[in-house]
Amino acid sequence: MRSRYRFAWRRAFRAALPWLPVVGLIGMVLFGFLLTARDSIAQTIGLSAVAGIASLIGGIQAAFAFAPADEPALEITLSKPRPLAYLLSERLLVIVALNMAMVCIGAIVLRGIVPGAPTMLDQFTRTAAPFTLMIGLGLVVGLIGRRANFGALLAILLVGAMVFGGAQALIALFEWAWIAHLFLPPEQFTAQQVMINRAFLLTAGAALIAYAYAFVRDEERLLAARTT
Amino acid sequence: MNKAISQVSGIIRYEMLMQWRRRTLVVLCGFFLVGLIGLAAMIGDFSFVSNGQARVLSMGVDENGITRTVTSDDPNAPLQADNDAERELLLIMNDPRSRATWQMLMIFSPGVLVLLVAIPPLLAEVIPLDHQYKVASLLNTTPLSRARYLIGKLLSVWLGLVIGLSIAAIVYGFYMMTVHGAIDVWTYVRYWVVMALLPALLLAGFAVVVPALVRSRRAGVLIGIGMIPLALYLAAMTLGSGYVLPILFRAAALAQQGIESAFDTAFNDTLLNTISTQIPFALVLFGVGMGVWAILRAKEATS
Repeated sequence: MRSRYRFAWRRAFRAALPWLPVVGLIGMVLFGFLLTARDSIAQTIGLSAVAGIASLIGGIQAAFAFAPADEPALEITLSKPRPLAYLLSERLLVIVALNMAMVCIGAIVLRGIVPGAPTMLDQFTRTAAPFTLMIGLGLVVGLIGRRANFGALLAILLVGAMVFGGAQALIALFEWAWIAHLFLPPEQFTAQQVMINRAFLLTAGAALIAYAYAFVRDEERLLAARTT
Repeated sequence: MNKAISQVSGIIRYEMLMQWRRRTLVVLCGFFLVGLIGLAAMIGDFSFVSNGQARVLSMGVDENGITRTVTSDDPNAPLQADNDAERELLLIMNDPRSRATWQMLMIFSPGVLVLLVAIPPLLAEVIPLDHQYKVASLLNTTPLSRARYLIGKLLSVWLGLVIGLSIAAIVYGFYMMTVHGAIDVWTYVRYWVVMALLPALLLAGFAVVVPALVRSRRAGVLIGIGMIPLALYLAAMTLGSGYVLPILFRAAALAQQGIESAFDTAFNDTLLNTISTQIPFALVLFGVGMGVWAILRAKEATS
């Protein structure tokens, strides 16, 4: 008979840094006011702010979600019969739920502050693909690097570079780079290009998350037993 | 006195070794180096130095920067300058060694921004890890003062950074010399010390000292992430006063005023200005360090 395991939602909530989306929400509101004041930096980011902030927060949270060297009593966790996939799933679900709530509220607030800002549905479609990729990247780098700071740093630098003109510079150098643009502006590209871009980001993100699940099944590797 | 030196030098030695083993410094300096070389490989030649050996014939300069550039493959083509300032600028741009050096420094500046952003999250773990692994409890049983402990940790990170960033600077220098030809090494060394090393050491100081009050790496790294705005501010102040292109404009303006060795004067002035923008950060770091030391002492007295 197959045993059933319980989810540890309270622990997952604490591990997912629940205050970070609140900081992100404050950032979105500030961004909205800066945009209405025609601030040059805010105009550089444009309407990618919600997707940018959600991807950044999601990437950092994912990096902190399960970094083996920062996990208290990892050996005891591994000695329990409950598979680590449960732990990963509950933390990822909490991160996704918190961020989706942040995107909903952020979209409503931004639409209230900035006339003509995208609708909530539009913000969701802009956010889903880069958010998935950043979750995957943060998670995998945190797991492989064994520490949260490598994954968090990668999320900060990647999202920062993409939002502040790095993506445009990359496209100017390599024409095909639009495919990996995290926040492809739909008004500047064809519908087909936008679809391909989002499909690519989603697939890459899903593949990274799948790799993270495969990684946590190898307990020897998780403990770095071969190297320490 | 001998005891104090041996304690501090012991912390410096072993902490620096641990940072290399934990891959913190390897990742930090490797990331910086790969970023610089990647950027150099992607960008190639800047438009105003354009086309490898092409001669820059004319260059429009106004308060917005360089507005037009005309180049030619003919090495004897005459320069077309509207005034002495433009002529000085063209002479600098057509000197092969200057061109290679400027090419190198132009790419170096954005690389410094990335380095400074990376420092706080990566180095903020140094002291919290001692608490996480319960080494701090062991250290409390030894006759090691809080001041020596903090100074030892700080100096270990600084020494590690100097070694790592020096290796990165040498490799980047050789790469750029291979691609663009001989460079002015003294200009590069001075620029590297003032624009990369000094702000990196300052920021590393904040990244080591401020998280000393928390007891887990997780909390330390979060404090490090929270310090990224400080890193951006320091980068803006440093790059704002010492970015390489305005040095050329200033050299041209000095040449117009008849000042001999206009380029050296402009470059030295810029470096001094940059150092003076960093002094307030050093003072704040000293104050923060004293504050953290006082809190640690107070905690020790009450525990």
